[in-house]
Parts: sequence; C-alpha cells; structure tokens
Amino acid sequence: MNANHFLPLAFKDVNVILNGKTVLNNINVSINNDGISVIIGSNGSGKTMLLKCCANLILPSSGGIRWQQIPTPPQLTFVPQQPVLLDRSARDNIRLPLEHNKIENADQRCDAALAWANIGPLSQQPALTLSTGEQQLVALARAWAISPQLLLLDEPTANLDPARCQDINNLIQEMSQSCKIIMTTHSLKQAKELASNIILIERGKIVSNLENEAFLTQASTKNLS
Amino acid sequence: MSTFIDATQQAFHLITSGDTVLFDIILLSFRVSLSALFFGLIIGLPIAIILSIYNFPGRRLLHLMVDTMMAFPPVVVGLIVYLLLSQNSPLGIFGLLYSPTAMIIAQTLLITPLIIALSLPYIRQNWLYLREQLLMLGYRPKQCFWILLYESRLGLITVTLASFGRAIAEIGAVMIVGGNIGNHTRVMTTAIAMETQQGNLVLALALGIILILTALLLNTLVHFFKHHLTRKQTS
Repeated sequence: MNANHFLPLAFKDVNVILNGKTVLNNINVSINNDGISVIIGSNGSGKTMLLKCCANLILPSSGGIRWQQIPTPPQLTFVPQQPVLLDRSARDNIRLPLEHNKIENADQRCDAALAWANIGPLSQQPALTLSTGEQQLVALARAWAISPQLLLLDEPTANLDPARCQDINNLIQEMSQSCKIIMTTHSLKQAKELASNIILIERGKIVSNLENEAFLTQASTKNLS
Repeated sequence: MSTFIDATQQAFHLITSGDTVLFDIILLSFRVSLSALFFGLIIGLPIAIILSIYNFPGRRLLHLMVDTMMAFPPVVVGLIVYLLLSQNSPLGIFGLLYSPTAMIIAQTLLITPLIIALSLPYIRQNWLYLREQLLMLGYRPKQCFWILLYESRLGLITVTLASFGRAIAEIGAVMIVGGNIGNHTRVMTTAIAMETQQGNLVLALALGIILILTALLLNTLVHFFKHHLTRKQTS
C-alpha cells in the first residue's frame, strides 16, 4: 500500500476555539509521508485535538488543512485513547466494519487480524469484558483489518503495563510498513522508539517538528524527559 | 372481610377453571396492547434515533412536543381519537369507532411519546460513545440505525416493558373509543370498572388479579434488565 497518494498533510494557520478557549493556536505544520509521525506533548497540550483535526472530526475555527488528496474513511482510521468497541464479541468488532465496507473475504481477513494481534483465543469473548490492553489490541486489529492508508492513534499505550506497551509498540511498528501512522504520546521513550519525526506541541502551539534524531539531540541539550 | 376473602377464592376458581368470558377479555387486552406496543415501537424508535443523531432546526421543539404528549391525560387522547373516528369526521368512513382498532390507535398515541422519551437517553448515550468511531470506520449516521438499536438493547427492553405496562393498564381512552362492548371491545380495565359498578366482584377481582400479576411480571422483568444494565455499565 502506498501512502504517497494523499500525503503530505499541511496545517496552515489552523486555530481551534472550543467554548471560547483556544485549544490550537496558529498551527503551521507539514507531516511527511514517511513512517510514523509522533505528536508529543504534556496533558492538555492539544495533541488529541490536532489528531482529531487530521481525522476531520474537529473542524478548524480558522485556517485550513490541506491534503494532496483528501482521504475518506476507511482509508483513514482513528483509534482513540480509550478503545471504543461494540457490545459484541471481539471477532464481531473486527468483522462488522469489514462487511459494512464490503471488504472481500471478511471472515478470513478477520481471522488474519486476530492472529496478527495475537488475540485469537479472545475472539469469542464479549469485547467489553476484556481488559483495557486487550481492548486496545482488538481496536488495533480492527484498524489493521481495514488496511487504511493513514492510521491515527491517540496515546495507544496510555494506562497499559510495560509488557502490553511493548506488544502494542511492536504492532504499530509492523503496521507502519504498510500505512502512514500519526500518533500522539506523552512518552519520550515511546517517541524515541517509534518515530521517524517528532512534533512537539505545548499549550496548543507547535514548538518543533524535527526528525527523530534531531529532536532527541535537541531534547538532550534542553534536558527534556 | 369475609366478602373479600370469598370473592378472592371465587376469583381464583374462575381463573383456574378457564372461564371463557374471563379469558376472552384477557386475550383481547393483550391483543390490543401488544399491537399498540408494536406500532408504538415502529413509530417511536426511529424518531428517538433521529432526535439522538441529528441536529436540525425544530429538534428542540419536537423534543418538547414529545415530552408534552407524554403528559397528555388518557381521556383527552381518547376524546381526540373519538373525534377523529366519529361518523362526521374525515376518518369516520372507515367505521373504526367502537372497535379494537380504535383502541389500538388510542393506545399507540398514548405510548409512542413514552417510547420516544424513555428510549432517547439510552440511544443518545450510545451515539455519543460510538459516534466518532463509527464515522471513522466508514459508517454514515443513517447507517447506524441497527447498530444503535442493538447497542441500546437492554435499555430498550426496559422501555418496551414499561410501555406495555402503561398500555395494558390504561382505561380512560379505551373506554371512550372502544365503548366497553361485551365480546367485542371489553378489555380487563374497562371490565373491572363495569363489573365493580354492577356488583359482580368475583369477575372484577379475577381480572384485577390477572392485571396485578401482569404488572408484577413486567416490573420484575424491568428490574432484572435494569440490574443487568447497571452491572454491565459498572464493569
């Protein structure tokens, strides 16, 4: 799958004002089409809002977001911080969107997704009774099964134990071979491990947008953690 | 006191002996109320979903109208249906007045606002929870109808039972539009009122027992589903 069809993505003078509060302030940033772009920032810095703007879930109050070609679902998929699953089995959560989008061989694709995320034994369990980490794996498997061109992940490892974090990081890395990923995190360690470029956002403003190594060099000189 | 005990014993005898008059009344009651429930759900649930999903001009007004209609006194609803179906009205040509169909129409009008108002919070809650994810998975709002119904199923079962309870216990509207005609439009509530007035306490009490048992069964089911729902949401 080639992500070059629709990227780069460029934010031009984007402002988002919600309930009278400026949550994104004059955002000007381009996101290239290589690997994983990580948006990093502290809680409440505007990471999720930036991601939701990419997903077209939030419309800018002013400014614009330019795509080379505007992707529409399911070419673009968003996985929120808290996995949102249907009150059905894990398998049905993956299968139903495939059938809805008329993706061929939905059943086989569903089996492959369960195997990919290593959650085959959980396939018949009600999704809402799974642990948060397992639910996150179901959400990732669902996104993988759809084969999006662009995957947006909002803090995919928040509130997970280190072992589960590593599982999910591995899956994200594997997925980045076939699609462009933009994800948010507040963990510099995770950004260092996954990112090809890192966008630092603070109080709704872009502070920097650098390649991984350049960012880490700058971070070490400024003693960021 | 002994009159009450005697009447209760005879009422139980009437029920257990399978009295045809009694069971005709019970069957008609259930037929009318289940039909009204069916039509109420067919009309009410799509309206509840539209009110949950879409923001459109007049949405609040529609919501207000539904809430107002929910508070309509049954006799007023009965009167309105009576006027609509009476011989001099446009719908009079169908000759529906004093028929079970008229009773179904009246009960449908009574419980549809209830179905909309009670199901709205369940559907709205699920829509707010699932909205972003469904849109990102390629669903359009109008394609979410069945998913929302399924996800709200436990709450909607409670709504269905409560609405049926309201329909089967209703007397004012069905008395006006049905006329309480024996073997034709006599249902449990109208029969209880009439038999009590005529001093036939045994039949009235037998019907009252059936009605209480029905209410008990419905409330037990409502509590069961509410408990199940709360447990699910907590987990």
